[in-house]
Amino acid sequence: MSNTLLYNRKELRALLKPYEQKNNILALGLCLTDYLLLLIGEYLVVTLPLILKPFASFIVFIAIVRLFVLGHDACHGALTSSKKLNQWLGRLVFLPSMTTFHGWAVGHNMTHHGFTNLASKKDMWLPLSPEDYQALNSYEQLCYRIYRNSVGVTAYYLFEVWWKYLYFPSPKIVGIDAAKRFLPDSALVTCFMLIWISSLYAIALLTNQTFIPLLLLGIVFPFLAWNMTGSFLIYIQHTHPKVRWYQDQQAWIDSHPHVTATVHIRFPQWISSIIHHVMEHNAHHMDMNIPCYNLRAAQHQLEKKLSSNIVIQDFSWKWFSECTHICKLYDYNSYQWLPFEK
Amino acid sequence: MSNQRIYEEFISLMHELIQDGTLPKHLKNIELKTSTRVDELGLDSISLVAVLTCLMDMTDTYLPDNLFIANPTLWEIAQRVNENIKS
Repeated sequence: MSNTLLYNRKELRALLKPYEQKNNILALGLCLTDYLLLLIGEYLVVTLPLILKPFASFIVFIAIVRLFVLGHDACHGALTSSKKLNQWLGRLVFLPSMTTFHGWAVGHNMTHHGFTNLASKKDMWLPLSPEDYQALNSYEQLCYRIYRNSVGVTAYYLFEVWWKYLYFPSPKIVGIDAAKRFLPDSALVTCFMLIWISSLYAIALLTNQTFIPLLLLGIVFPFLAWNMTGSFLIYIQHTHPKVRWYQDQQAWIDSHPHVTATVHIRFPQWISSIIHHVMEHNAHHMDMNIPCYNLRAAQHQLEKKLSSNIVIQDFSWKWFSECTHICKLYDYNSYQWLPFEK
Repeated sequence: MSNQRIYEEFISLMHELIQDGTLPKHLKNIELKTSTRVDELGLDSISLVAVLTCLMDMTDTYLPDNLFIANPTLWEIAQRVNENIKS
């Protein structure tokens, strides 16, 4: 992969400008469809026999993932042409994944997009240098090792992102003022969750069913599955043996991080459609104002111009296993991934 | 682009961020002037990151986070932003 870009950021943004076009009817249709999918899933969780309920639970999980991606777009102001509508829709579609709109705007829009793969800003999935790893206590080292394992990857988002930053962020982590600003959205997602749980409880009483299986299959398992999926997807979007991380800000700026700090993971078309093309990630980092329904075309256009600068990876479990095997610690001087033990 | 133009866009961005709740409400009571220093705004680190990333987005330029070092005035920030755009 070359670090020399033939086009600067402005030129590339101009190239992608046509894909910023919003389709409000389509956006609203997608939101309605995915909420309908969630309701169908919940209906099936209630009505199907116990042995088939996991299938319904899977539908709820898929709906949460899809709604989250729409919320992600709305939070960028990319889903519809109206700023107010994006703010309301974003809050609404974020609810099933218990994501706070304001928390996501700060953590994702600003920290992640502003400083992708820059160590000093503590971006998600930040790899530690051997020295930083040695400085951790035993518990923190264990957690780090688990997160860098091909199975443990799925645990990172729930504990390190959602719990710490996206639900009720601690004033110790984000500061008192910021924590106060996050409160209304934190209260909103909590109210929604309480209503969701209460509704399932009422339905369990009305239909003479045990509440716990409904709670687990209707809410808990889909929510955990979403967190695991989110963790996995964010990991593969920015972690790859060929993708660099930086400590030095000037080196990071010179690397054109908007293009080079991101991997285009190619999934089969049907999977890409299910997750609203969220893995067409270089185009998204180049221009966050492109809605998910235009992202495939935008990524295609970008790759026509910058094929030598973009890391493209066809997804396979074999590759993923190799990636997690290689990407443990990071040498920020030589830009090399290192194993835990030499 | 002139420093004046950058400054005006920067101030209008600040007002927008105050209005939509990205920046703390107490800023509504502070007059943003060319001579206002960053420390006078009383911004927490998250708010500073918000201003920096929104400035990057506004100018389509990556800006270093030392933009706010040494307690610059809003005018000096606009100047530094312009220098980065030109470089």
